Amino acid sequence: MSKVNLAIFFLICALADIACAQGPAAGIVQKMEAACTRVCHGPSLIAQQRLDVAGWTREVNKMVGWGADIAGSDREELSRYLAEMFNNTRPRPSSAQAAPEGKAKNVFQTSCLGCHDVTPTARIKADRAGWMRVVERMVNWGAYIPPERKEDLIDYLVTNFTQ
Amino acid sequence: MNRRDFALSNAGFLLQAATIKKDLIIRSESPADFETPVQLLDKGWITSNEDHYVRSHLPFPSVQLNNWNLAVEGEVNRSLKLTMPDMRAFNQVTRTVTLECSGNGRAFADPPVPGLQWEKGAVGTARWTGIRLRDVLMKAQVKPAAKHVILNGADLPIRAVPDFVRSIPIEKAMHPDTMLAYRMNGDTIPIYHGFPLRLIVPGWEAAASTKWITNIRVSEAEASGFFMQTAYRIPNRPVAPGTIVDPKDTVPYTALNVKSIFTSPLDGATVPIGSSIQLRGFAWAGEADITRVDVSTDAGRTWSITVLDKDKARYTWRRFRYLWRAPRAGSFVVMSRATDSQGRTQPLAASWNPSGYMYNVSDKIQINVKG
Repeated sequence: MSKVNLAIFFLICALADIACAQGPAAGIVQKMEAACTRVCHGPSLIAQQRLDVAGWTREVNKMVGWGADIAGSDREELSRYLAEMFNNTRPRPSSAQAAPEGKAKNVFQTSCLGCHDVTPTARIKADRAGWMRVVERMVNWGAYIPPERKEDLIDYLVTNFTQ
Repeated sequence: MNRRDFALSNAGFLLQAATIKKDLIIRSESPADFETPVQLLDKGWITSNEDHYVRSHLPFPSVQLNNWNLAVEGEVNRSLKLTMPDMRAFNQVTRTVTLECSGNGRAFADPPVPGLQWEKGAVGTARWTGIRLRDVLMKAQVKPAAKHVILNGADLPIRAVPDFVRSIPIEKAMHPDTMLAYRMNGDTIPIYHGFPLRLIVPGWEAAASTKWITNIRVSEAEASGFFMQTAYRIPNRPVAPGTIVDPKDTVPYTALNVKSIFTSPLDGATVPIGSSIQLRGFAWAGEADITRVDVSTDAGRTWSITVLDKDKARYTWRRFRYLWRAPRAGSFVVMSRATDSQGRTQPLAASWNPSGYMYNVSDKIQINVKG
């Protein structure tokens, strides 16, 4: 499982209060990465969808028709995985209005909210050292945060989501 | 395009996302699809190049102006190959146009539909400068058999992804307001908005306004690919939510709906009791003109007419304003409803379609008044 997809999964788990113990089928995620998110588009294009199994099956088949290298035996599993992760019971990634005001609001919107909602961020309630660790973890998982704005983002998170 | 080119292009997206487009909402990093937060639209009648939403289906092309040219071929007596200096030799025109993505508001579809989950900000207004498409077509001497004009850009698909090729009917192509633009708000068009040349089809959903144009083919038939025969089409009759519609039962989505959105205050804003709040936003109607915008501060029970700003042009949105005195503590549902010169008014409930196109339900925000 990629770091970005793991990040999306982790945050959706936190958001939905579901148990993360079992985790998703790592193999199918790796195959999805190899066929989709490392080749044709980024992960946020997937993460923002809210479809059922039938809807995801149509999307997977369309992508296969467009050249995505997903074996016939994997398509059903991938559609079920996507429907489990990104269905209509999940909150949508937030709109701009949901982010608190602040100097680094735009960094928060562009670097963070493309993959997850505000809610899991709001639940963390960390101090500055804690937010530094979270930000580093997200960078390691694939979030792009302009280096010169990282401190501003941490200040913003501490200001708005602190203990 | 191979994987290496895609990776390089992708790196370019991230760089642009981090610098030029830092204030926009990234709906997709790659291909680049960025939405404008409504508070940025609120800055003025004209949307700056940096604030204007970005829509692309494929990675940005690499365009070198010194070897760029525009081919005009097909059902013409004189095939052309035009350089940028050739383009500038035609009569120049400037037109202010509101562009809206056909899927703007798709995020509100119930049940959800696949695609970029645009909310309110896949819309913007810019001053486009260039030449009339009809002048180029007349120079090429279009044959009587011509029915459509097919436009293709320099952007290239990956693997078996269909190329982004669109067509417009010859009547719209020959309309004096349809233009090939090379400047946006006075500057050279940025790469993410279609450098060096893009089509502007005023009043139509923005997928018709093809970017990075390198080829114009005059044809007896519409473009045959996915983006003309499957995408950007709407059912030819109302359908129940969740219905799967065969493309043969659809028609192309062309002229925009009548629509309005609030740009200030923001949804969920808190204001003090007794304060005077200016409710404002924009309304547009594609090929029609906005004639009035009404607002309601009681969830649609009563409506009041707003004042429209003087800034206006054909195919362009109008700003509306209404001064509201927050009467008492509570949470108020505030709505807007635009009417146009064709007699169309925004509906209060959505009509669903499988791609989430044409969403134009009366906008609604919640304003909290605190004592």
